[in-house]
Amino acid sequence: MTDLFERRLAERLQAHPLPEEIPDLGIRSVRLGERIRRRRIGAAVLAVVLLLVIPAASGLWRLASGTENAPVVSPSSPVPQASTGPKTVVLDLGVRAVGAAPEVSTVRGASVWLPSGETVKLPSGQFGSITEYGPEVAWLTRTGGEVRLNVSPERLPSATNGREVTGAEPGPHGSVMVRTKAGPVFLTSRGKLIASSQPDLRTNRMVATADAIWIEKGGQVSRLKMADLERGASKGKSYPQFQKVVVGDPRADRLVVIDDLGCQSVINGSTAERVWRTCDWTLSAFSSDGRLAVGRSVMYGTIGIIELSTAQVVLGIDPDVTPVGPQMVFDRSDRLNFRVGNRPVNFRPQNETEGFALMACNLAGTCWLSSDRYPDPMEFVLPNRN
Amino acid sequence: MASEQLIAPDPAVRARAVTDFTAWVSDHQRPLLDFARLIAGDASTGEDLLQIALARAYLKWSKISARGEHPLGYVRRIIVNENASLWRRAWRRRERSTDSVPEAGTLDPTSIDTTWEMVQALPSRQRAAVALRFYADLSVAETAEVMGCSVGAVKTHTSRALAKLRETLADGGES
Repeated sequence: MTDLFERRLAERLQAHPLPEEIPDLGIRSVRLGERIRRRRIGAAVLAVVLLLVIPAASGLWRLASGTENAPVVSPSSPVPQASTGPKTVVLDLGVRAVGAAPEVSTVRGASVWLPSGETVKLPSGQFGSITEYGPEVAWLTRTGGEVRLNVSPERLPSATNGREVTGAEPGPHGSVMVRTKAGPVFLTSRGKLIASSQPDLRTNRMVATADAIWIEKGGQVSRLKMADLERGASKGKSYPQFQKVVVGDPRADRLVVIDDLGCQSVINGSTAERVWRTCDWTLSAFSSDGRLAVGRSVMYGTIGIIELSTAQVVLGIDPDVTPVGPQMVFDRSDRLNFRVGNRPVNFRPQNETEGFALMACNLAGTCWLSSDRYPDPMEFVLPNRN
Repeated sequence: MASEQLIAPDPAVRARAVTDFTAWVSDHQRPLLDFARLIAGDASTGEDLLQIALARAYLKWSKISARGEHPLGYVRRIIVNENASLWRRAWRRRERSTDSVPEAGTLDPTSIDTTWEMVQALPSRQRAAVALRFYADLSVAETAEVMGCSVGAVKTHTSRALAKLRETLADGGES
């Protein structure tokens, strides 16, 4: 039976004003669909070819050797190296022990946990983003109708307009970049607050590299140097071949963009040159030195740590049945941190213990639980960091 | 993987499908975009979600048309399922972008925007249940079919979501 509250809820949801049309959405969806179709065909063809080639090659080798026996390797011969591919670790929460705490700042149990072990209790109320920039940590709190950017340890809070703020992350030149609907606000490493309310900068899609911000507006990406922004400029160089910005990393001086075919490119933030392009991975973070990137395989859903210079997967992580949170962060030791669970996870099915926890994996493929378990996934926030 | 997805259709059939599909998208994209934003929890992710859902619908368009299936329901189902699929969330921003920040002291419980934001702040399954039941106006059974779960699970998600919403919104004399 529907009560008055439910009827009013339905009325208000259905009365929500419809958004504006997205230009060419239909034809863009067709292009994306065709790409998915081609990828599926390619995968099927590859599988068939492998099924045919491997037995054929095996038969040829036997014919050529004239014997069914494998060749004898003399003791002085170099031992053939088996081609094993990248190491892949399967996440099995039942066998993962609790290990070292994350080396990145996190929010757990309504407190900010710094890598030093120090904790800062957050005020009651809503919490926004946490960001690491250089050796420092800043976080947003939303209380009393106001958003504050708290900077630890010495600096005093700086107030911004609460209704406008959508997130904070590392900015160019060691600054903190706070995205607002009115444009970006930067707290520089010298403690100066730079705000721009130019219409060209009013967008939620904005990332930073070492000396510039990259803005997505009207289906195009443009780059605006921080120095020019400080001089009051609002228009940068446009890159129409890119449609969206995904993630930026000022320390690594890299960003990920999406091109008109829906594939991702890693771009050098200073030169705007393409470092790597992939249609098979969706990338989400870089290691501190920019050597590694982490992403999800579009085809298989597995997580891969990829060395960008060689495009080789250094470590594969197969979530199997373990839900893995969307945010992944490298710490300074190149360990990957992420949350396990988007719904309560049975860590040990025999006693039905459920919850959410942080997990860390090193490049050798050792993974461990790096936090206690909490009943609510919102207890965890990993930092935006450079 | 269904074999029909691996076979490139006849060019004439494909051209007709493209024409039909783009016309249909043009007619329905605004309510679908609204729905995707509600399901996703923020505008940008909703746009990504809708594009992925439409691309997948396009791949099956001829089949949907031939079967006389309602494309709207089909696309909504993909949107809900894609949103539940975590690996797609790498497309998302590192933190959730919202058009405005909910502020406990200034809530207007009778506002459409406030209601919308409160629903967007629900956990994803509860959000999906509320969106399908009260925005898309589906029955409990239809919602269960779209979400791929039991009728009981839909009732549980809906009940929990409504309890939270009542707590936040009922101050305006709703209950």
